[in-house]
Amino acid sequence: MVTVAVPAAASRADVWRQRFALLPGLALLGVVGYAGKLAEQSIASYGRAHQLTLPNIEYVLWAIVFGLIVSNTIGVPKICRPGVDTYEFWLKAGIVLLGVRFLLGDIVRLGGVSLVCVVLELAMAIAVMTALGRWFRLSPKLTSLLSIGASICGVSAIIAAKGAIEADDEDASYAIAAILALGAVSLVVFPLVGRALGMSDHAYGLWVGLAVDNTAEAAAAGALYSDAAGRFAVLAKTTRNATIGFVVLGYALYWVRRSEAREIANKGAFLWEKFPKFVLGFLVISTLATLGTFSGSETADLANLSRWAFLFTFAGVGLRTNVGELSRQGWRPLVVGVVGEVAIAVLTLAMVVSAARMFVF
Amino acid sequence: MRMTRDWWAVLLAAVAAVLVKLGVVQGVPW
Repeated sequence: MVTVAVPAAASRADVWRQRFALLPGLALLGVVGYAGKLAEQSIASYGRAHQLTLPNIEYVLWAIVFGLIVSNTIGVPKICRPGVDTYEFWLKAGIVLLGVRFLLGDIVRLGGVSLVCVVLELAMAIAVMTALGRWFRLSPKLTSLLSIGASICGVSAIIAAKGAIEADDEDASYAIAAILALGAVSLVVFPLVGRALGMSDHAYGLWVGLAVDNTAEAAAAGALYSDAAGRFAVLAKTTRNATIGFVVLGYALYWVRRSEAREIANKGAFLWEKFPKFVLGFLVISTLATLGTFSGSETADLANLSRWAFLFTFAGVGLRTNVGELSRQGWRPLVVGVVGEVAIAVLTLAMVVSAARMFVF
Repeated sequence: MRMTRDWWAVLLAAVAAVLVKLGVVQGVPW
């Protein structure tokens, strides 16, 4: 009995040690994110006090900028890394809570248009990236990873696909670096293009959700435009994320046929394993909101909790982006990424503008 | 069985929703 109890106690201690190891990084996320929020509030109150019309720069941008400054000057201390790596966890929790601000009717209506756009975007992104990968003679597996990253949801999709198609670590980090570099650029470029074209919150959010690959950057690029655009961007991106299992399965089967990946015994279990579970949480909260479960003040409280979760996420986006590391990744995958992403951004923009005219949004 | 981070995120959000619904958490500032 003792021999059984000792390893169990040891592993419990390990679990607690792992949990405590998250605390410094969580504190850093909180400090950087809150500094972003303070910067937004201070500038606004300075403008009001001095009767100046200052540009309203959202906390989203400040949190990312402060994070970038830390990660590219002093660097993120090693002790903080496990906690900083939880930024995607906060993103997912934030998205589930954001469900309270969507009624099921909106999801069905918006999701219907989004779904058609997502299917078209998937086909376009895979075609563009595959053609470019062949043209620039990238390795076939790197081309597959870039196609999956560009068509669905950036980093999570690449990680999910890496195991399924048995790609090299180096190919996966190339693909992730390219997607993250372009995600950072999109934070600046997308809001400028949206404003120049005078896009509505809905059309802009849909475009961002379709064209920006990593979910955290898509949420940030949307929120930088407006609160409503942020919600539309998250909805479109979540619809895209829901297709992850199908696309990764398609690629896995392709590589199995070429005898370069393991056989998949149970396709249903594979789809369930890859399916992002937070999408289910989002739908459950939306259903409860639609049924009138939450009062006005409860809805406001849950929406505010979702904002706090996103604050941690946006700080993490900045803290995780290392400009030097990105430039060391080599130019060819980056060129393929840039050309491919620009092509996808232009094609999806044309698609969204046409859809907005057709369905008036 | 180990729970994935996806499920932990859903669980955390569910706990938050229950606490808000029960009135344990209220007046969350922003």
